[in-house]
Formats: sequence, structure tokens, C-alpha cells
Amino acid sequence: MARQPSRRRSGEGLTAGLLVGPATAIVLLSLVAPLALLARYSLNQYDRMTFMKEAFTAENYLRFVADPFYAGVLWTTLSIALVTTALCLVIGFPIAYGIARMQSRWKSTAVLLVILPLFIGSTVRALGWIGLLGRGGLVDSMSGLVVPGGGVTLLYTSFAVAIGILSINLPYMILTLQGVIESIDARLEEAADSLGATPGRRFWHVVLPLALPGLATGGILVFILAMNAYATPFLLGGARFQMMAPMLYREYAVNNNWPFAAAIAFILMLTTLSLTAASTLLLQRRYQGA
Amino acid sequence: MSTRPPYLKIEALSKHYGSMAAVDEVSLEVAAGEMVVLLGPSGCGKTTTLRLIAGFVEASAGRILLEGRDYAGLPPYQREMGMVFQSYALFPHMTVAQNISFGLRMRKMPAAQIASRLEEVLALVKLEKMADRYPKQLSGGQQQRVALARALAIRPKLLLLDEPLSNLDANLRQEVAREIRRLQRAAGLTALMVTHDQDEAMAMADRLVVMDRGRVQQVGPQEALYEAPENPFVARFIGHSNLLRGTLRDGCRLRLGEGVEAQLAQRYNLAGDATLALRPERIRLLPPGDPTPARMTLAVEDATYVGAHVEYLLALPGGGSLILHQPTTGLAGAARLAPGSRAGLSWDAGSERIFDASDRALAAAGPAPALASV
Ligand SMILES: Nc1ncnc2c1ncn2[C@@H]1O[C@H](COP(=O)(O)OP(=O)(O)O)[C@@H](O)[C@H]1O
Ligand SMILES: [Mg+2]
Repeated sequence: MARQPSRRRSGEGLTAGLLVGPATAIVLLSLVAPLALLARYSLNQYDRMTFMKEAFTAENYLRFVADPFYAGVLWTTLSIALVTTALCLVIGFPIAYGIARMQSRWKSTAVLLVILPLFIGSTVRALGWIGLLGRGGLVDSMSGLVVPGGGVTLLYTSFAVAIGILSINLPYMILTLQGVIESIDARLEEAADSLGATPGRRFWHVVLPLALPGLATGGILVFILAMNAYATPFLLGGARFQMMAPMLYREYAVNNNWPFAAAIAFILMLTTLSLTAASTLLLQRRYQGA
Repeated sequence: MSTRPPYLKIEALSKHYGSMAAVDEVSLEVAAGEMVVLLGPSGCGKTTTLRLIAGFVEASAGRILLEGRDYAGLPPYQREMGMVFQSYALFPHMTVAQNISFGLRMRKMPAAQIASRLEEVLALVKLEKMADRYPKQLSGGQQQRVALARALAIRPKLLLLDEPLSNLDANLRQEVAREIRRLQRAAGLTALMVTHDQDEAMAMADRLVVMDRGRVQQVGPQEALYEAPENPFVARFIGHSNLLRGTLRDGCRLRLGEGVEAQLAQRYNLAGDATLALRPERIRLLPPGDPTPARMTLAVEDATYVGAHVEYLLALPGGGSLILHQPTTGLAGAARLAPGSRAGLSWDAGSERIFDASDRALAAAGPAPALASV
């Protein structure tokens, strides 16, 4: 991207500062302070009697790294997040493209249909999936009809969790992509068309590169959401399926191990952040010219 | 045109949006190597016509034949028509060279051939030094040339230009217009251009197509449109005409209103409502004492010296004004007619044009009887 020369005068900078000031204060108080506290907790020691003992130790982090169970949970979380993000991109793009290029009066209806699921909380939707995927649920009884006695229970599998997260995250992806695709001049596609590009090559050479920043934004958004998903893995994954957020909650509320819970929180956050940063850097390097 | 079949033939092409006809039974024939310009006010369906030909919109009715082949149902990427968009539509993520060679790459042309074609086209539009720049690092005029080069590079069967000059500074337009014309001629390309700018159209076209409300109003070379407009719309749109409505009597007297009558130079086989079209520069202002009998006498409202001519506004019955351009050659020092004074007007037979009540041009039946001297 070309850098725009800054045209702001100092007076405007001052006004902007005054306006941004309170907002910055709120962000500091509500985000940085709890994080700092959490960081401090993660270095404390667990104590059976008082639950938390002032200390300065890395043992909580070491415990996470050393125990294959925890590493496994992180790995499960990562794979679920990556798979659902990829699916969101693949499924979301055609839908977003269709809506973005729609010219009929049904466009606002289509957008509304995408937004509608967001009105229903993730817990309620997970319950819906339980009804669909659980024992005696819709899928179970239907497959029982086809193959007598051979019902399928998909509940409490990684499939159930993935589809649950996918359904929650897809609207965010579609809305993000729709905005980006709408900002791509439809004339560019026509130009490609008139120059002899088949629809496939037009997509590959023109639409995709120009939509890439939007794909990155949407991808990062749903990746973060998936990494931190709580209700869906809790309700659809069951007792044996572990993801980071429910595990973090259990360490905190059930086991009362605040220092370890804090360490898990930090590991989750740092993993998410570093992957996000890495993907952003990669994209920037690839598309420096444009 | 010769007896050869036309290179491009458009037959009763229509495009309806709901109940509105954006393009209404447009028919047109274009010879190979010809530059035809579609001219008309904004919203008259020029762009839609071009987009129908390019294949971006599907026609509601009609046919498009190029070299005798029906293009119905052929997707745009198989039509081999080079389109230059009003907004240029350059690929922002590609360099000038990548933009220009895009169409060649889509044709899977060998790299060496692409390189030589690219070099050739870059030289043609004089952008050799800009090959590695991105579109936003270019001026408007340079972007325009890239858009043109990109369309030329594929050696299109038809070059389509949608208002190619409208986003350029006024002082660049003429230069770019000549440039487009030079490139089109040099490549022997058949081109269809769209504009709402009359001067631009006159300067660039071999033939013009005047459109209004989706319909073709008249097709012809510049001179035919200017000298023999077929309806009042064309008379006013090409070079501005005064349109005077009145009642025709005796075939040669047009009553315009309360005590004002125009004595026509020719006779017409018509009685009743008619419209007289007169061009401002084709009406003579008779100086006081001139023995020439006046065809019409009106009161001067205003006179403004604008350089090449003096623009007079003369009061018409019913409230309108007649515009008259008096050339300033040989006029230095001559007194101008003051507002309020009455002016005798005259014009030649070839300068008047009469339309009937349904706006059709009438042919003259012969000269009108000579006017009596005042
Ligand atoms: N996609 C469309 N849907 C509905 N109406 C359209 C569409 N495209 C063009 N029109 C209408 O068709 C008419 C002609 O448009 P256009 O061809 O762009 O005119 P011009 O290029 O001569 O200014 C206009 O009234 C315009 O509003
Ligand atoms: Mg237009």
C-alpha cells in the first residue's frame, strides 16, 4: 500500500488526543489491568489451603508444556480452530460473493438471513445441535430408518464441535467478506472478462488477490473466536473432548487453581496472537506491491 | 458503404429493465476500420448498448452479428472485444506491464511473444518507462493510456470505448482524443465509442449515432447531422438550434405568436403546427439601413461580446429568446444594437429546417416567393 502523507495539523492532533484520551483510559482499565493481574497470578503458586501463594515461579507454564495431556488439548483446540476457519473461508466466500454482487431487492433480505443467527446465543444453538446430533436426535433416527438398527450418534465428537463452531462463526466471515468484495469494483471483473479470462481464472487472478485483505481479516476473526470457544465445545464435545477455554474454566472454578488457570489463559492468548501476527506478516510480504 | 456485408451489424437490439427500455430497438451497421460514436444525453442508453455488445448484459431482444456470426449467448471472455472503461478499471494489484499483458496471459501466449507484444504496445502508447509502476502511481492521462493499451494488446475484433475522455482534465482531452484516433487508425481497428460530449463525438467519429431515451434518433456523418437533422432533438443536440414553434400558412409563413411571423426562405407542403430550427450562427442581423428585406423582426433583449462573435438574445412571443451569433470579423468599431431596439433578421434557404407536428423533417417544395423590400 502507498503511504499517505500525513496532512493533520497539530491543532487537529490535540483535538484528536482529547477525544481519544478517555477511550484509551477505558481500554487501559478494562483490558490491560486484568491482563497484568492475570500475568502476575500465572507466576504464583497453587496452595491446597489458601489456593494461591505469592511466588515468582514458572512452574505453571512448565507443567502445561511437560504434560502431554495439556499439549494435546492445545493441539485439539488449534486443529478445530484451523479446520473451522478454513471451512468458513471456503463456504463463506461464495455466499459473500453472491450477496455482494446481488442487485435485486432481495439483497437486504439475504443480509438479514446471514445476521439472523447472531441473535441466538451460542448456548441455545448448541442445544439445537444436540437435538439434531444426539442419541434419538434427527440424524440418529433418520439413519436408523435407512439402515435398520444402525443409528449414528454424532454428539460428543470433534465433528459435532466443529460443525457447532462453524455455524456460529460463518455469519461473521460472510459479513466481513461481503464488505470487502463490495469494495472491489465490478468493472475490474468485467475488464478481466473482456480480456479473455474464464470465470475461474478471473477469480484466481483478480477477485482473490483483491479480496485477500478481507480473507485475512475474516480468517483472523473467526480463528480467534474458535480458539476461545467455550459453550460449543462444552456442550457438544462432552466430557472427553477437551478444548482450551472449557479446560481453563475448570481449572479456575472447579479445581480452584488460579495460577494454573492464568497460565493456560496466557498460553492460549499467546498462541492465538502469534499465529495471527504470523499470518498477517506473511500476507503483507506477499502483497507488498498492491 | 460498399455492397460488402457490414463488419458489425446490430439488429433491433433492446434491453428492458422492468418496464423501462434502456435500449429500444437499436439497429446499426459498422464497416471494418470505422470509428462510430454513440452520442446522446446522460441516461439515454449508450453504456447499456456497449455493454450488450461486450456481452456483460443479456439482450431482451435483437441480434449482434460480427463478421456475420451471431454473438447471442457467447460469454464476454470469448468475444475478443477490447473494452476501455470510463473508470479505466485497471487492476490495482498489477503493474502497468502486468495489466497490459493480462489478456495475452489469459490466451496462454508464449512468454517470448508476450514480451514482444508488450514492448510494442508500450511504445505505441509511449509508456515504456512506466512498465513497472502500479496504476495508482500514474496520472489520469497515463492510466487512460494503460487502459487503452490493455485493450489494444489483445488485438480485439472490436474496440469498445465508454466515455474514455470524461475523467481527464479538459486540456488533456483533445490530445488524448487525437491519440486514440491515431492508434485506432494505425491498427485498422473497428471501434465503437460512447460519449455525451458533442464536440468530442464530432472530433473523433467517422460516423455518429445520436441516441435519446434508448432510441436511435439519427445516424450519419457530422455534416449530415449538422446540416440536415431529421428531428428537433438532433437539431438541438448537435450544435444547438433555436427551435421556434408556430403555425405554417401558405406553405411559407410561420406565425409564431402575437403579431410575429417568420417569412421562410422555402415553401413546404404543410399547413398547421410546425417547428422551425435555426442555428445561431446562420441567422444574419440586418444593420439599420440594409435594403435586404427582413424575414423576421424581433426586439433585442441583450447583446454580449464573447470574442469570436457577439451573442444576441432576441425576445420571442411567448417568453423565450432566440439566440443569434454575429461574427466579429469586420465588425470592429461597429455599433451594437442596444437592448430594446428592433432587429431585422435574415437567413438563407439552406439554413432553415422545418419539422411537422410529429417532429419529422420536411423537404422543401421550392423557393418561397420573393420578399417585398421594406
Ligand atoms: N442494471 C440496471 N438496472 C436498472 N436500470 C438500469 C441498469 N443499467 C442502466 N439502467 C438504466 O438504463 C438507462 C440507460 O443507462 P445507460 O446506458 O447507463 O445510459 P448512458 O450511458 O447513456 O448514460 C438509465 O435510465 C439507467 O438508469
Ligand atoms: Mg454511460
